[in-house]
Amino acid sequence: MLCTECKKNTATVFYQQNINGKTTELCLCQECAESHGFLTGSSLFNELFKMPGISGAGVKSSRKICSLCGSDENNFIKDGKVSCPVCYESFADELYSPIKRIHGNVSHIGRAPAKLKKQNDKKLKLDELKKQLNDAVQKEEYENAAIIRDKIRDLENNAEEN
Amino acid sequence: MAWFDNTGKENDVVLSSRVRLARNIKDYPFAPMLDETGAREIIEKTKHALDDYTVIDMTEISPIERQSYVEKHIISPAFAASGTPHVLLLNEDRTNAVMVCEEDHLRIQSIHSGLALKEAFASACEIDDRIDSSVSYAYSDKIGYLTHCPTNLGTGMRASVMMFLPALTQTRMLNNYASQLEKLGLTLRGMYGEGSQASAYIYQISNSITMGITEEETISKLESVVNQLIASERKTREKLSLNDHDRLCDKLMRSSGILRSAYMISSKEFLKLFADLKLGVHLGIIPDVDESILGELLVGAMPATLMLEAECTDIDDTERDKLRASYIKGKLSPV
Repeated sequence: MLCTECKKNTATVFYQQNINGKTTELCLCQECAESHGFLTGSSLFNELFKMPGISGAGVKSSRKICSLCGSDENNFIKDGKVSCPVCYESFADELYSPIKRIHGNVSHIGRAPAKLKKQNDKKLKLDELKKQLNDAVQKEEYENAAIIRDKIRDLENNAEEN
Repeated sequence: MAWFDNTGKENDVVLSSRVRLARNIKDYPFAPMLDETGAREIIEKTKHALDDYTVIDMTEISPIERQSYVEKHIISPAFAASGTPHVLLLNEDRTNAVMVCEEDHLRIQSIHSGLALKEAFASACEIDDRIDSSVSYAYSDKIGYLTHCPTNLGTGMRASVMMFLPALTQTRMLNNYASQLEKLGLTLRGMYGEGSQASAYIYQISNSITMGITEEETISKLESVVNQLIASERKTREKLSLNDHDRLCDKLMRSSGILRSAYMISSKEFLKLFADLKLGVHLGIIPDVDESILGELLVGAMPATLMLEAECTDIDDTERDKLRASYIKGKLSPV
């Protein structure tokens, strides 16, 4: 695999970061990795992500760092307890099985913060209206489809205003 | 009214019902990882949301005062022992409380006398909504409210009922129930919750699962199990009373006699005798004690609360046992 930075040399250093659920992957050659400070142990990059220096050039390494508390795979959970709320996103893959083991499932139902509940209710309503619109178009009920389309527009406009 | 006023429904078997919601505020690490500035910010946000609640700074009160809140089941033992900034918010009648900066940023709690899970849930939701309108909670659509311990993920709700089960304990029927409870996603614990032993035949039954089940379903399941336990406990009490009424009367009345006349009583002995007294009162064997004083007696005779109320916190064990005996005597003497 070629280095994603210079696109010339073979990538030997692999870096993965997860910020608020958005995963970015870097596959770098030794030269580019050094220029980013990954292999020196003291750089702006390390400071930014509070990440200890990675040594051992040429060895495939992949790290996830929590953007809120700076924990990595080795210390985001201690005595069975998670460091911060963002760790649940950053280490979702690692936590999936333990959560399933504890609760028997990984799917919350029940109360939700009011703001999110409103958004979710609106999304459910939009999904339902879109389904109705499809059905109406397939049945060639164009007058009905136009009414549903207007309802969808109203709902979407409301969402934007909010 | 406080939970220990003993006026709630089914109070011969159920002492109190409690609903606790674990909540955390977005963009802050969980409480044990918080720095002092973060903790102070969270405390201020919560105080602002519940501006009619009394604020008790736990770092400014004595260990005995903190322990007394534990004895009244208003705070957890871990919260009392915490060294970082943490405050307790309390409503006027002390039925609603919010522990700020326990292991989760917020532990919202509503505790009611007798069997009143729905009422406790409604009160907890009301506090939750008030805080929710002024802060952003750490929440995921998929796994619900995000909590320090993954066992609380989902609803973050722990509903529990404190039950007095002397007959089911003595006949060992409770052991059978305990394994069935586990299968239903419920747990049986001691008087002070997690890690505590049962004293005076008092237990807490609570849900252990918080994901994939709504709060209402959890409460309804717990209530249904509690109702079965109430029926079973009452039936077993009747049986015990019928089988050997004289011996039972003798045992319970002796305990009542010791409580009324002892010069010194340790808290361990008190709890043992209290169980007999409570059973005797509810079976009608000890008719001259008003059942409304039982909850107050249970809390008031605990070490920290006892010393605090008597305003003598600097006494040794012997003096405390004498104080306890005198307090109990006062409570049980006819007015």
